[in-house]
Order: sequence, then structure tokens, then C-alpha cells
Amino acid sequence: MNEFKVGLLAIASLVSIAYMSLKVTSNQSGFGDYTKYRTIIKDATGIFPKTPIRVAGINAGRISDIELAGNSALIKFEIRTKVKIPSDSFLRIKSVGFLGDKYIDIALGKSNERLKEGSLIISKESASIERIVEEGTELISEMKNIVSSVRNSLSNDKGESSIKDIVGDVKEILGNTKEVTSALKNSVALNEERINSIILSIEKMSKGLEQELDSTSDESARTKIKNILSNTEELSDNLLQISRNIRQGRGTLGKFIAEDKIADEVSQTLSGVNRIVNRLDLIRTEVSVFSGVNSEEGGDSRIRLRIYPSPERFYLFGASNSEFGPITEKVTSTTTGGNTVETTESLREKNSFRFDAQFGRRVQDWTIRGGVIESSGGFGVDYHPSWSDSMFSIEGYDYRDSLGFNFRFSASTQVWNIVHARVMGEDLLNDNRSYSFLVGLRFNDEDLRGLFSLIL
Amino acid sequence: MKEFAVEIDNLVKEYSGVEVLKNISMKIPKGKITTILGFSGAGKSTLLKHILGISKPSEGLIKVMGTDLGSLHSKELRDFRRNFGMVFQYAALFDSLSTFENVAFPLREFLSLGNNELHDRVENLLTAVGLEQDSFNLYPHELSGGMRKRVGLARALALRPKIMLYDEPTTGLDPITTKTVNDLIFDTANDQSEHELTSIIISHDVKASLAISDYIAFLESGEVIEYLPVEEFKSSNNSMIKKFIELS
Amino acid sequence: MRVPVSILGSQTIKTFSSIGRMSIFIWKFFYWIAKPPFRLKLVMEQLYFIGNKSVFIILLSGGFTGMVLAYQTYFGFKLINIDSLVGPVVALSMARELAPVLAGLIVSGRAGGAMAAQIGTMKVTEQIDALEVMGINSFQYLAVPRIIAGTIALPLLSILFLLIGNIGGWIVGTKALLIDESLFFAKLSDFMFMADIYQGLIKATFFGFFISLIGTYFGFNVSKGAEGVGRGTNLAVVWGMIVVLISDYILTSILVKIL
Repeated sequence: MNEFKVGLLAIASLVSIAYMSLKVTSNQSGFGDYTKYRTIIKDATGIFPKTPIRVAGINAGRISDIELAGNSALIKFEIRTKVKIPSDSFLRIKSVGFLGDKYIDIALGKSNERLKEGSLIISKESASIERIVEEGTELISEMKNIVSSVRNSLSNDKGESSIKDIVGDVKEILGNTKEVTSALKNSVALNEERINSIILSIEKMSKGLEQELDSTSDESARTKIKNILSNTEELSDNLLQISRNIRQGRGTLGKFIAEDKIADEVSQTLSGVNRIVNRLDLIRTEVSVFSGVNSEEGGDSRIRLRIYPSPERFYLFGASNSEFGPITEKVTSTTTGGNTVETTESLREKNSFRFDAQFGRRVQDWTIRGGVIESSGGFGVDYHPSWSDSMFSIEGYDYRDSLGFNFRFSASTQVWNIVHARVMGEDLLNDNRSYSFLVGLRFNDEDLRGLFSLIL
Repeated sequence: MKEFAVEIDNLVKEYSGVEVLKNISMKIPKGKITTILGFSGAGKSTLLKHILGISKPSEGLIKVMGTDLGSLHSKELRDFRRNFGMVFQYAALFDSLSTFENVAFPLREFLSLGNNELHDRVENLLTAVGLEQDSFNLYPHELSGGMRKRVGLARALALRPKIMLYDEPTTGLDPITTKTVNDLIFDTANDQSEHELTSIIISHDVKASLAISDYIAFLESGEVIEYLPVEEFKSSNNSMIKKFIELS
Repeated sequence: MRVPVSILGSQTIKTFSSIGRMSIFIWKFFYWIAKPPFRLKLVMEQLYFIGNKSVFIILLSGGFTGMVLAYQTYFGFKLINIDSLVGPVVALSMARELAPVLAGLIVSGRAGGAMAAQIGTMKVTEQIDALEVMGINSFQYLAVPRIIAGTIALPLLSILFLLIGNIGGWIVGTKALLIDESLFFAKLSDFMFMADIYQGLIKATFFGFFISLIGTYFGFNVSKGAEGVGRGTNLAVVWGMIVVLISDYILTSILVKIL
């Protein structure tokens, strides 16, 4: 009985979900036959595989593919076969509302002929928002141009004042005309005398003007103005001369200002210095100095300097001096009576001074390096965990025929501030192992700064 | 060593630093009723769990019918447990199942019986412990304590085990029911005597134990103080045991 | 100074032990689910218990949730004239979030708590010991069927929640708020995709698994006595809900990228 009810529950759920899926995919449902078509549009912005395709506003199909074809977008889609697309139909990208999502709208044509499967439906540009904005912008910029040219023409004094004058004159003329006509009206009965006296005063005025404009008379305004102008002219001439001199490099000031070469050099030097300073700033250094004892008896001291010209690359230089060095092989061949015998001796070098010169790369917490280790070829890998000031290294160097590589493992950890302790094991893969314990200092430029701040 | 149903050698069980069982060694014979007697907290239930293999010893060995329990891994151990039948102190019936279903449970689990055969067997088991038909369809919470114990017994016997275990069978029961249960245990042990049914009882009911047991082991603070046939036990000189018997 | 440190220490140990125990529990589930006997009958029983018996409350909650959601969104939408979107919004939010999560919370309370109580009581009354003594693996017998049933039941319930929620929303939308009937779900296919429904179902499946896992876990791990069972039940319900909500966030962020 219970199983039956459980079955009911399961069926009810499955039916519900089937029903809801139908509702959800109503415009994308696969039922029915579809006919394929294509179109090419310039801009497929806002067109997605789920963008609906509508005919007369009703969902009629779906997009199957959007591809790039040359510089345009090729859209392959399918329309329900029920919907007949005449051959003169065309296609537009429309949006739902002013700012809404895009959809593809097919405007049906009037032809009786049906468009064949696979053919291209032509797309027409429609007044999309982008277009309107684009044109609007063009319009606005044109208007701006007009406005600025009008302003320009108005802005030099001559233009402005001339307009002002014109306006003023027009005003005056209008006023005068008004007066004159009213005067005339009033003075229909004006006697001749009056008119004569008016004419006389006009005459006088014009005479006076004439006088003033007479350049030959000393008293005239015109001459006065001319004099002022000629003085100003002289002054400006002088200034001009001076500036010309400076520009041509005459006189010390001029030389300095005018000599392009000097200026160039100065700026170049400055920028060069800048570069060097910047570079120097970026170079990071790390120094480590360790001293200790070795299990095979003897002291061991080493110093290493790492220079990082860039965060990932570095050069390493070092020197070490130990009373008991690593084991090397010496091959001696002795010839006795025609037989050449090669004897291989394994020696431990005593009191040897050895050098390191390597270059390497840093990858996050790891560094890989290679070059000269302990005066012989080798490579090394270090691990600096970011959470502590410790370092673990494995190095392989000094390949000897019978013993193989000298594998050295070392681990150092911070004891206090820049004081570190380190353990090392050498020749770990052979029977000739030796171990060392050292104490020393490890610091980089930041540490130095920190140290100084402590002291100061 | 087939004479012994259970052999315990140097069993030590430590729990959170405390030694609950201290070096217990005993051999429980086949076909007899052995009672492990002791105060509360003496370690009886723990010992029982070890015999069943539910608990593992910290040290020592437990052999049931010759098989070292420690050598079995969990699946084998589970299968091995079908040799046991256990009656819990409060019967531990499955409260979602009726009386009938409770007893039928092990039969359905491990045997494929036809419906009729199943029905007959269950009926036999229930009537053997003295239950009537009208209680077959009742649920555990509808039964009295004594009835529940009987159902528990019937269920434990369903698969015809070789060893029956009883955890405090008569504790907390009135004198009449105590006798009934005791008799049941006794009759069960003897009915099945042809199959050599071993009965191991954990109890602190001295009187009932003395009445039906063949052997008694006295457990105190994790140690076996005495392990004797019942007659010798009754006349033990151990002061604790004497007091125990006196007070019963 | 010592006491807080030792408390911190013991708490840490306890937390790690709990995590360890739960991990072992989960491992046991995946181990035993593949081993016979396959107790189909028990799974069916549990499906009935978790599924069918929750139908009423699911329908009730779903219906009212849908109705309230339609109601609340309507007023805001009406202000900017998009009240035609009420239908799709109700459907979308129900499908992706509300149906799985609310159904999960309800089932956590009902079934998760009940599982813990059932199994917990069996533990304190030695019924689990009885099973073990009979040679039956109590974990496989009790926990596995419940967890399987929970994982199956919750998606089914979630679908029902979704359906009735949409119906409730439709009723309120068209009858009370007078949104045009034909318009209510017209935009649905524009906004909602099958992926949304699948998202909700996948979440519901995970929730069902977690809830029944937690319910059975706490049932097996009760401490002695009635108080222990009560605590275990409480923990099962609370943790079930917490895990549903947290995993909801995690699953959502994963699923939106995949689907």
C-alpha cells in the first residue's frame, strides 16, 4: 500500500515537471517542422542563441547558429514551416521597448512565392537606439561647430564691435527716422528759417569734423592720435627686437634659452639618472654568512650573495672555506711496462677555498639555480616557505666517476631576527656522508633597513 | 577444546585509563547454565559484550566454541553471532513491529521460509514462552514487562542458537514473574539439552541464580572472585559471597 | 592562562573528532550502499515517511509562499509598469531558490528530526544492540535506506512545492491583483530556462542527502537517556537547516557557472 502511494508521489512530481518544462520552453520547443534560413547583419550585439525570432510580433522560430562571416555576422535560424515566408520578406533587429532586449523581426512580403529553404533573408537597418544616438551625436557636433564658428566670428573685437555698431547705428537711424518723420510732421508749417538754421548747424558740424580729421593741422584729433600711435609703434618695435635677440640666442640668457642642444642634453641626463635610480631601487640583494662545524671534523664557513636584478632572476656569488671539504676523485694513470693502470682515489679536500657562481630563477617560493657550486658544476633547488624565514635546499654538484653526484641537503631556519641556524648533509647518496651544523646571519636589504632602525 | 562454550583468557579491558576488567580467565562449559553474579558496576555487562564480540579486549583472548573472536573481521563476526541468542534487560523489542513481527524478524532476515512455515514457527515460539494468540498483534508498548521479556525470549530462540545470553532476566520483576521467567530459562535450557544449549546469565539476583544455575562466577570490580559449581558456591567461605547470599 | 588554553585545546579536539566521526559516517554510507542485502522495502517505507507524509505541509507552504511572493513583487513592479513580470519572477525565484531551500528546511524539521529521534530512541533502548547481536548491520539497516530515501524524496517534494507555488502566485496575481490572465505566464519562456529548474532540482537532491545524513548521524550518536535523544533530535534539525542554507550558497555559485 505504501509503495503505491510512493509511486503516486513520484508520478505526480514527474508530471509536474514535464508540465512546467513545456511552459518554460514554449518558444523553444522542438515540436513541429522547421525551415532553415540565413541572414547577414552588420552588428550582432545583443543577439544570443536564445534571442527570439518573431513574425508579426509572434514567436515563430529560433536561432541555430551565429557565426562571423568576413566583417559581418551570419545568423542561421529556423522558422516553423507553418509560417510561410514570402520571397520579398526582409528582416530587422528590433528591440522590445525603448531599452529592451533585442529580437529578430521578420516582416513578411507580399509575394506569392515562398522563400526557398536555406536562402538568405535580407536585413534592413532599422532605427535602433544606437542609430538614433549616433545621428543625434552627429547633429549635436555639427550644431556645436556652427555655434563655435558664430562665436568665433563674434569674438574678435572687430567683429563684435562692428555688429554692436551696426546695431547701434540701426537703432539710431530708427530713432532719427522717427524724430525726423515726427519733426517733419510737426514742421509742415515750419518756416524756412528754421530749416536753414538746421542745415547751417549741420554744416558747421561737418566742418568741425573735417577739421578734426585733418591730418595736416597740429590741433586736430587725428594728428594727436597719429602721434600716440607712432610712439606706441616705436615701443613695440623695441620689444620685438629684444625678443628676437633672445630667440636667436644672442646674449647669455638668450643662449641658454635658445640653445636647443643644451636643453636636450640636460633633459636626457636627467632621465638617464632617473632610470638608473629606478633600476637600482629594484635590485634586491640577499647576503648570508654561516660558520660552523662538520661531522667529519673541521670547521666550515661560507658566504653567499644573491643579487636580484628582477624579481624572478638572480645571480649568486659565494665562497666557502672548510677544513674538511667534499670528496673528490683523483684519477692517476701510471704506466708500468706498457700497461696503463688508472687508479681512482677518493680524497677529502682539506682546507680548500671554493667558489660559487650561479644564476637562477625564482618561481614563487622555489628557486632553481645552476652554475658553479663549490668550484664544480652543479645545480640546486631551494624552497623558501612564505610563512617562515626558513630555507630548504638540495644541491647536486661535483660529479665523480665512481661516486656520482654529491648531493647536499641543507635546511636553515630563523633563530632571532637575522640570526639563522642551519644543518647540512653532504654526499647523502654515498657512504661518505658528512653532516654540518652552522650558525650565521642571513639578511636582505630590507633587513638591513630594519636593523638600522633598531640601532638608530 | 570442544567442551567449553566460551573460553576467556587473561581478558583485560581498559576504558579511558580505567581498568574495567582485570585479567579475567574462565571457561564456561557447554550445555550448562552459568550465571555471572555481581554488584552493579562490577563489569558484568562489559564482560557480556566481550563474549558477543561487540567490544574488543585491550588485552587477552576470547574463544567462543573454539573460535577466537579476535581473528574474525566484522562480516564474519556478524555471521558468527547467529550462534547467540540474547535476551536484553528490557527486552529491546522493535517498537515499530508487533509481537508476531518481532519474533518473525530474524526468521525473515536469515531464512527464506514460506509464509505458512514462518507463521507456524513463530506461533510455536510464542506459545512455548506462554503467550496467547490475542497478544500476537499487540505492539511492545501495549505489553507488560513480563510479556515483553517473553517475546524477547521467543525472538532470541528463533534461530535455534547454541548459546543463550540473558542480561539481568529477573531484575525488577515481581516475585511471581521472577519465578516464571526463571522457570522459562530453566525449561529452555533443558528442552534444548539435546542440542546442548549453553545458557549464560548475567544477574545480581542471587536467589534466582542459585535456584537454576549449574555454575556461578562471582565478579567484583572487574575481577573473578570465585567460579564454582553451584553447590560449592553456596558453601563458599568468601566473606563477600557469604554476605551476598545472606542478604538475598 | 591555563584554563582557557585547555578549553581551547579540548574544544579543538572535540571539533576535530566530530568532523572525523562525520567523515567516517559518510564513508560508511558509500561503502554499505553497494553491499547486499539491498533493502528496497525499507527504502520504500522511508520514502513514504519522508515523502508522502510531507506532501500536505509542502503543498501548504508552497502555495502560500507563491501567493505572498506574487503579492509582494506586484507592488514594486507596478510602480515602473512591469507588473507583467510578476509571473516569471515568481516562477524563477521559486524554481531556483525557494522551492529547494524551503522544502529542504521543512523536511529537515520533519524528517531529519524524526530520523534522529527514531534511531536515537532505538539506541537508548538497546534495540540497535539487539540488531547487532542478531548479526544485522545496524548502520546498513537503519541509516542507508533513510539516506537514500531522503535524497530521492526531496527533489520530488521540491517540484511539488514549485508547482503549487506557481499556482498560488497565479491565483493571487490574476484574481486578487487583476493582472491579465493571458499575460501572467506569457513572458515566462523569455526569462526562464530549463537550466533554472534543473538547478533547483540538483540543489534539492544535495539537500535531501545532507538532511538525512545529518538526521541519522545524530540518531546514532545520542548520549544516554531521554535527554540525549532530545538533544540529538534538536541538533539534527538545527544542523540540517544550517547545512541546507550554507550549501545553498555554495551550490548556487557553482551551478550558475556550469548551467
